Amino acid sequence: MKTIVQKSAIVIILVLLSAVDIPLLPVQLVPEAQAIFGVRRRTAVVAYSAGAATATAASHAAASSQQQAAPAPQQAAPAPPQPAAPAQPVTAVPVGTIVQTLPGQCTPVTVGNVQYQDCGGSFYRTAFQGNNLVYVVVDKPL
Amino acid sequence: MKRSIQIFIFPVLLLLGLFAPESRAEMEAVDPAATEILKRMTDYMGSVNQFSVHTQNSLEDMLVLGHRIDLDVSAKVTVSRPNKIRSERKGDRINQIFYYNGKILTLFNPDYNVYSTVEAPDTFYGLFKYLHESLGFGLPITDLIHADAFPLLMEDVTLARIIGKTYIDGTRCDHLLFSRPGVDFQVWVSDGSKPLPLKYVVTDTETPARLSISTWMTDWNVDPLVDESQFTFIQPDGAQAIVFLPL
Repeated sequence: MKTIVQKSAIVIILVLLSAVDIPLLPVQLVPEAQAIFGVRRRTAVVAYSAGAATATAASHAAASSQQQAAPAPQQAAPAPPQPAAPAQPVTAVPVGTIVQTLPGQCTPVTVGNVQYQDCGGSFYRTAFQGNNLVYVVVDKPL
Repeated sequence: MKRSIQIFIFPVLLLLGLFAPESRAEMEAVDPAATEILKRMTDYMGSVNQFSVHTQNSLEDMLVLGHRIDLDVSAKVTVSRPNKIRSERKGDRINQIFYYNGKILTLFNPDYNVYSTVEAPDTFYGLFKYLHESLGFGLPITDLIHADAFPLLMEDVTLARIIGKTYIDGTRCDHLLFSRPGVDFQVWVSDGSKPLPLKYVVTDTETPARLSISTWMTDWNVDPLVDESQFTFIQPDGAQAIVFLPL
C-alpha cells in the first residue's frame, strides 16, 4: 500500500511536469478550427446574454464594408393597422409613413418641379432612406 | 487502493483546472504572423493609387418567421486615390451608381431615374464616416480602401490567427481570423507580390443569429485606365432630384 502511494506520487509529479507543458500543446498540435470553436462558444454566451438583440448584422465597428442592402425591414413596413384611430378614413395613410412599394393605382403628379405619386388621394414623394429607394407620405402638394 | 486513486485523482483534476484557463488565454492571443499578413495586404492596398475590382456581396438576413436568407449585391468599384470613388451596384432591391469626386457625392438610381447629390467631406475617411453617420449606408470594402486601413482594422482586436492556406477563385491565399468585441472578421489574402484581399467576412457576434456579411473580390485591376470624369454625376434627361431622409 505504501509503495503504491509512493509510485502514485511519482506519477503525480510526472503529470505535474507534463501539465506545465499543456498550455503550449494547443498552440502546436490542436487544429486552428478548435481555436475558432473556443471563440464561438465565448461569443455565443455573450450573444445570448444580450437578449433579444436585433439583427443589425455587424453594421458598426469593422463592418463598414457592408452594402446595407437589407431592405430596412421595420421602418419600411407598410403602415400598421390603426384600430385606435377610427376617426380617420380607412384609406388615409398618416403623413410621414415610409413604404418601400407604392400601393396600386397611383398616378404621377408634378407640382413645383417635384414629382409625387397620387395613390387614391394619398400623396407619396420618392426619397432615399440610406441607399434604399422609399416613398414617404406627404401632405397634398398645392 | 481505491482510496489512494481517489486521493491522487483530486489533485490532478485541480491542476488541470488551474492550467486550463491559461491554455485558453494562450489560444486567444494575437498571433503576430497573422497581423503581419494583414499589414502586408493593407500596406499594399494603400500603395496602389488606382484600382478597380468586382465585389460580390452576400448579406445574411433573418426573416421575421425565423428563416435565414441571403441578400446579394454585385458591384464594380473603381477607386482613384486620394479621394475619388465610383461604385455601381445591382442586387436585391438595389440598382444604383454612387459617384464621389472628392467634393460632391451622388447616389443615382437608373431604374427610377432619380438621384440625390450632396456636398461631402474631402477624404475617404471623412466620406465613409459621413455616409455611415449622416446618410445611413456604406460602400463595398470601405474597410479595405482606406490608405491606412491597418490601425482601423486592428482596433480593439483581441484575437488574430492564421487559419491556414486555401484557394479563392483558384488563387492561393492565407485565411486569417480576427476578433474584437461584438465582431469577428475573416480576411483571405492572396499569396505573391500583390497581397490582395480576395474575400472578407464580418460576423456580428453580439446577436444569437450571428449573421455575417461576406464579400468576394474578383477581377482585381491595380493598374486600370481610369477616366476621371466617371466620378462626377451628369444628370440624365428627365432625372428627378430627391432627398436623403434624415436618420
